Amino acid sequence: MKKIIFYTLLLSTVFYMSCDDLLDKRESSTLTGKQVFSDPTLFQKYHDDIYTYYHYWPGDWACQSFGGLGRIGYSSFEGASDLAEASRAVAGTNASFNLGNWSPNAYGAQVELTWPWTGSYAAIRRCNVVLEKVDSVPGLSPVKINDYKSEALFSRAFFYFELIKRYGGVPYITKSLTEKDDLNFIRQPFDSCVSKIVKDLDEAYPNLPLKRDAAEFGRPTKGAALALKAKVFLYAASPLNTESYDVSNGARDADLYFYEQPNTPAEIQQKWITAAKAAYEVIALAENNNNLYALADSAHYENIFYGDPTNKEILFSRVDGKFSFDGSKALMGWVSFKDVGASKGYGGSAGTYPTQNLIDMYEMKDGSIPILGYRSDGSPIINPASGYTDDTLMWTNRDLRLKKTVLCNQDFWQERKVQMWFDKNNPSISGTEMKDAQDYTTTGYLCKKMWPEELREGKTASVIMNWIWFRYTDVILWYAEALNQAYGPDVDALGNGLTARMALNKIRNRMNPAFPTMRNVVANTKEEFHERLMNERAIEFVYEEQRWWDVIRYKKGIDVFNKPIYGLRIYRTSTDPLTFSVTRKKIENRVFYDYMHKYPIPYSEIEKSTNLKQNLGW
Amino acid sequence: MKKHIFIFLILSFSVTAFAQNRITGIVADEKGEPLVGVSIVEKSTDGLRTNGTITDFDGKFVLVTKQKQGTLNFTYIGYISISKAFNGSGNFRITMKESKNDLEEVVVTGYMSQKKMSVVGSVSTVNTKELVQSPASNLSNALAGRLTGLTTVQNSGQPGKDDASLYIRGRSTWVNAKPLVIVDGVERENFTQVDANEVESISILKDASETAVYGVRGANGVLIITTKRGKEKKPVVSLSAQYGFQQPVNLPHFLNSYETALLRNESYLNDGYSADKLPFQPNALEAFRTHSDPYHYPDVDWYKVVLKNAAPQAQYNLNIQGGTKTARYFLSAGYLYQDGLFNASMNEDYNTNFRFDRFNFRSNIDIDLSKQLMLSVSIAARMEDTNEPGATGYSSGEIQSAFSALTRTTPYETPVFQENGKPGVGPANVNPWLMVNGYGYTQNKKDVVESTVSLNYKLDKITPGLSAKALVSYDSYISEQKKFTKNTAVYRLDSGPDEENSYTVSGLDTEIKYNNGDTNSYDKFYMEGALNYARKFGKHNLTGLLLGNFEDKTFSGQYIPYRTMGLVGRVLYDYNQKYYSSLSIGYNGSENFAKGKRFGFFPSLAVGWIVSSEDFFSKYTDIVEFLKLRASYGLVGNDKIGGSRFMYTEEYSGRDSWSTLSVPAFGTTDPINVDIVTLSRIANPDLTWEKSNKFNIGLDANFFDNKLTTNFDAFYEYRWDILMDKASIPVYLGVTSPSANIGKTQNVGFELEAKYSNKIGKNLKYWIRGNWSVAKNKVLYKDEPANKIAWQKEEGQTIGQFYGFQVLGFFDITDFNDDGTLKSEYAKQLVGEAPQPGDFRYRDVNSDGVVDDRDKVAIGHSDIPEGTFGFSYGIEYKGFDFSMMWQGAYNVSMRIAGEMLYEFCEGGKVQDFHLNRWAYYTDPFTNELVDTRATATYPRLHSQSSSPNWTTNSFFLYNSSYLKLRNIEIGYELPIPQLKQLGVNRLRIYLNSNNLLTLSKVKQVDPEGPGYGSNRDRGWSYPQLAIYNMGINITF
Repeated sequence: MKKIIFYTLLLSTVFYMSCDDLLDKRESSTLTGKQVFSDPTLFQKYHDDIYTYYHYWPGDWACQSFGGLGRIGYSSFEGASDLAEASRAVAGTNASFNLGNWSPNAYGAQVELTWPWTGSYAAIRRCNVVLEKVDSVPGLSPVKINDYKSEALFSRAFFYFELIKRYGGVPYITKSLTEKDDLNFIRQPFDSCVSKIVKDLDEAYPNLPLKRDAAEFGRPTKGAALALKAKVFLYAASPLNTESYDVSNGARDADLYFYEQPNTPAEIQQKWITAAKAAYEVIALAENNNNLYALADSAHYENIFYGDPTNKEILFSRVDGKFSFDGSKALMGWVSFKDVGASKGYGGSAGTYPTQNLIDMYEMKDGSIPILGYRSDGSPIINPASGYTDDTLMWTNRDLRLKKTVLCNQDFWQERKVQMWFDKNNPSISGTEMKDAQDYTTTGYLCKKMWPEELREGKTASVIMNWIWFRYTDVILWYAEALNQAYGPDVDALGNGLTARMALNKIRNRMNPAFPTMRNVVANTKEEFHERLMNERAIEFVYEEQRWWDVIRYKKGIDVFNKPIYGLRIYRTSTDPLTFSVTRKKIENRVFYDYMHKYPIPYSEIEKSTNLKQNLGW
Repeated sequence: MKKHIFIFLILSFSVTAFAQNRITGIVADEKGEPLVGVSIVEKSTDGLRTNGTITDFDGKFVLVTKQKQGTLNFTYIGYISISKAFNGSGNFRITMKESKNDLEEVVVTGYMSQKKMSVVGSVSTVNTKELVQSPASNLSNALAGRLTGLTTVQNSGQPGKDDASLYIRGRSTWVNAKPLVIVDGVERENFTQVDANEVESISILKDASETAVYGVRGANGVLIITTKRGKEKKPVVSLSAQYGFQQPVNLPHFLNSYETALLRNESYLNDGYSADKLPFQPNALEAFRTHSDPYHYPDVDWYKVVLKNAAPQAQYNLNIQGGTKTARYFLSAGYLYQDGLFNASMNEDYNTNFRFDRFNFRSNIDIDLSKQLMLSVSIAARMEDTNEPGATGYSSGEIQSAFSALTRTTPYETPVFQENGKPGVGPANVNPWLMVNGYGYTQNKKDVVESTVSLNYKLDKITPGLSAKALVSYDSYISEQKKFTKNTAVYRLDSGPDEENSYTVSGLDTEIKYNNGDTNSYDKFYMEGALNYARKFGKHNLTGLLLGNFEDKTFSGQYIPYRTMGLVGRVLYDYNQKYYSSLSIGYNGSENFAKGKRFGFFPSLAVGWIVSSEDFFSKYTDIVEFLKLRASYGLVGNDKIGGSRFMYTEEYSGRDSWSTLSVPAFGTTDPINVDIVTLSRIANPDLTWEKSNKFNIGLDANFFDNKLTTNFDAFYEYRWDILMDKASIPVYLGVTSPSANIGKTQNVGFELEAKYSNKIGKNLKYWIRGNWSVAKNKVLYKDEPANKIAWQKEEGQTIGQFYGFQVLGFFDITDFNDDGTLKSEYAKQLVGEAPQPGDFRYRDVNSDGVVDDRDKVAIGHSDIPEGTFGFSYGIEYKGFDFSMMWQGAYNVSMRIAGEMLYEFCEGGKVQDFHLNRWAYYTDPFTNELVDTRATATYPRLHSQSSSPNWTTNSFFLYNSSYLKLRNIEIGYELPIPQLKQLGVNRLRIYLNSNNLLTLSKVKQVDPEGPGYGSNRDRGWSYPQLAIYNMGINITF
């Protein structure tokens, strides 16, 4: 007995020495690379992960909601521009961009400043892996292989454009890296990045389909590739990337910075011509293929972003799926539509409000300009000929897009009138503290453009939404802009039978087809034309994250963004009859410094690589 | 436990009686009470075969000696050993004196128990007597200040969820610095809910010589809990009952409506609003001041409304300890409840308050199956039930919403109830009272069963002193959560003061209903087999241990169990109880590492020298009774390296549920998410555990007839192979960079402990104890980017060091130009809004003319104190006793932000210290000049959160050093002889208190910190508690 116990114990200790396979992990729930790249189904899943990175940089709760409405801490990036004001003070653009204190580490700004860097390179890695591995995945037909390659090439181009529009020239990586590789890359000049992007797009183009099957909607097409190319050329021709860039901030060592070579005027003109040609390629594609793309008409303008995604206006979009008011849809993340899209009185806590600055930019219905400028106290200089009055009638007789984009006081919405007013008779507890006006916003306006009326408190209705990357209106305006910059508004130098003015007027008149020439642009010079064109872009694309880049690429940040933002204060002056008074109210003094025309490369990355130089001034 | 091991050791010397000399006797203490279990050993001549016995229940013994003449040695733990010569048979009456010397005490160390005198490593111990002095319901909170070298940080007072974080000798890793917890010889996840009445002792093992036996899991130190076991004596029944009240230690002092409104107006003025745009016009201010209209101009002290002044708690324990010659037992049953602080009175049928109920049971039985074989069966079971308000999610979220509402809902937001009696809300749609009353509740139930069966087999027949042990343990943990939801309609007043009341109603009143539940469980199997050897050869004492063990832990829903296995070897040797040495080896590994890299070898060596036993020292022993020098050195590991499991393998996976949110979708009609697969982890085949070289020297000295005992330890630890993400890899890589074992730290410190006890006259005993521990760590290497700004590098700093702006002072009016811009001699501040007079002036550290992120520097300390100390003192006089225990920590910082610090955070409120803000303006309503510039201790108030002051900076980072009166106790043992007739041996009543006094610069929260997780700095957590308690102990 004793001996048995003794030897059992002795044996058991020896057993420990020899038996470490007790610790083996025999089975696994996880996949290895070997499995992923030898199974067509898994490979498809690996490939589709590229699309995760289309603008919605994974990892942050705040950037996953619909249409960019909640992309930056419950608010839209449009709040960084003069067109909108974010409602969320802590994490939105108004704690960072608007104050002129943004840096790569600023809370709220990270989503836009740091993550595009990380997210784009993450997507680019996936593209590189697909391109490297696709040929050796068993069971793929040559056609399928080419499909994968064209999608990956398009995506790689797309993400490099996302990088260069923010940071300028960046390290251009076209193979999948391991941590053992030398990762100390140098930044490529902007133009060199552009030509590599274009090369990828040209290579992708032949294998991309003209149109996607309904189930595959959301993947790139020939039109998407041409549109991206046109946009890349347009940005390459824009002053930010062609003219000299001199900024100053702080007293730092010049060696730390990355410098680009400016272009000569001739080179610049050539760039505009290239951009115009590239834009026209998209137009030609549409026209040669049975009007593959067309401008959304008046009836469809307001629901380009929701409703029917096969709208011919759309060239390329991210499919965001179906949304309901409470946002049970998984794609919404932690943020519900009501948190970012609906206002207080309608059961939400809206994220971003249109500004009076935007309202002032809308022309009159007939195309005349209501406000010519501002006095030093901020009051508007009104064009009396336009018939505009700076009172409660200010929203009448304006460009039809105004009321399709913005909800103003007393507009009818979700079965009642929007109440944006305070009661002057009860001033004791008015103000933002005790009792907000029922549908109160800081500016006195709400965003209607991204708010389907069906999405209502207490209702379960759901709406398909898409975030559009390229739409046909944009293409036409690129063409107009590039051609005007190259030759002026009325020269058909490329022989397309479409001058810059003709292109712009297409957009200006499309809302009111009964009067096809009423809103023809009034502009004599190239400069006047350009000014009206940029105004057109601001109005047309508000909330689509275009304004910031349109101002930045012309180096107009100081002129446009270093200015106060205005809203309206509306009082109810009597109840019967119902009357109101309006006062313009300064919401915020915006601050912008010249070095902010290019984003800073994340400090954390600059610290890691001796070769990675920072943008000037940061 | 100690005693039975001791007895067991004695018995293990085989009894070979053949002589006929019979000696009888009785052993008693000084009071004449018989002593049970005193060992009597006949001093042997050959040093091999020893003869002995122990006293029985009545203190009697019978011993047949081998020789006619000789000496008997009487030894008993806690008493001075006695030698008594005998000559032939006889009857002795022995009186043993209690020893003031704790060197005879048995200390539980890794896989064995040792006499304290023979310990050459670094160990601290606390016994049950001290532990039960604390009325804290959580054992981890009763440890504060009691164990030298142990740092405790209690972050919350939430009933049932108030575990303190424990650190032995601070921390040497930024990954997981938790010590290993061993309860009765088996690793247990948690010990904090073990009833203090069941605990015999708690030891912490600190140096390599003590922890190397735990090998890959020992580097963070080991905490060993030993529960009480039976003794060979008549059953002793102890009954204790206590009842007390809990109160929050520190709560923020928010201002009332009138004061808040004045400051709110000031913040608007500061931000450039004109008088007519101020949120509170004179009539509103007047209404707040006079409380004329509580519905339109409410003034609610939400903390008062929502929190009760005091909440009860009670604890009851009944235990029985006893045994016969062949079976010994300890049985214990206890019940504890702790009520929540919330005023949750709305619902009579169910409780939405916090509450904790604990039932605990323990049975430790030792049976001698034969003279050689002892069976021990130990079973502990607990039910831990907690209740929390709200039912929308896991508890942390609920607590946050209950407390976030409290911290930011302004006094004028809404009345608690509107004039119609319905719950009111304001613009934020929140009523803090309703948060804990109107939205249901969540029940958490946790059932714990921990069982151990072991066999001890003496193998003296093979070779004297050899024994074998086999142990099997099975633990089961089941936790269940049940959620009960309810909704309550809230009323917002729309009408003005002169109008008829009209309300906007949101939400619906619903009945409480069961929403859903969730069960989690895991079970753990552990076995070990061991050979023990203890033998004396003349002056040579040898103790040896060889042990193998295996553990398998399986969680519900996870099919790959967590497994560890290992071998332990230990040899203790001393010569003549003068020169000691200890060699320990751990060889063990876990399933978490690649094959071939699983097992680590961890050796350590310690030596000790009892100087006072040397002849040359005898002239000093009048003063220095005892002096021991110790030194140890060894290697220990830490396999709690963080990250996911099996990091040695590559892993591709789909998105986890959290990030599923951004998975792409395609299609036009009903777009659905596509499945994606991504490289989620790059393989790191070299993955290994942290390693630690530990060096320790120590000195134990007793003075003045052992009245004063002191211990001193100094240590140096070098930890390397700390896992971290390779921070130097640029993100071009495109995937999460692999982690690697690259970090290095050092940890240096010392510990000092002293106890003094003495008597004045015959009846007055007094004692005083103190301990002081310092552990200062430093990051020696981290994979930091090459170009990282020198003053922001973590290398050279403490783990967890805070970084932020340095505040040079407030800007004054004269620092600005007429147009409001900062004068050019100052650096441009790109922090929040452009600064104005009264805002912080930050230091431009790199002198580039701009204050930005590059100018953040190390400020303050880390959030774990570098130094901790405790001291206690007490007196005993006749039946009375009185004691106090103080504990403190220093060189520690606390970051408070959000609602706990900033003015009007999230539209919220202001606290008393905001009254001391910088202000210089003329009140537009009274035309009085407000000028606090000379006395300001808080910057200018802002109406928006873009304030340039709202940063982590040297001004706002609190020095959270503290001194707490942890315990005060006064007790009286009733000298009522009549009770004896009722069978009552002892009856003691007492009053005690926990955290009666807290002294710290931090006033609005407990200086140990508010809560856990990302919002901990905002005070959204249950406050720490002070307890006022009374109790009674009865022993039958």
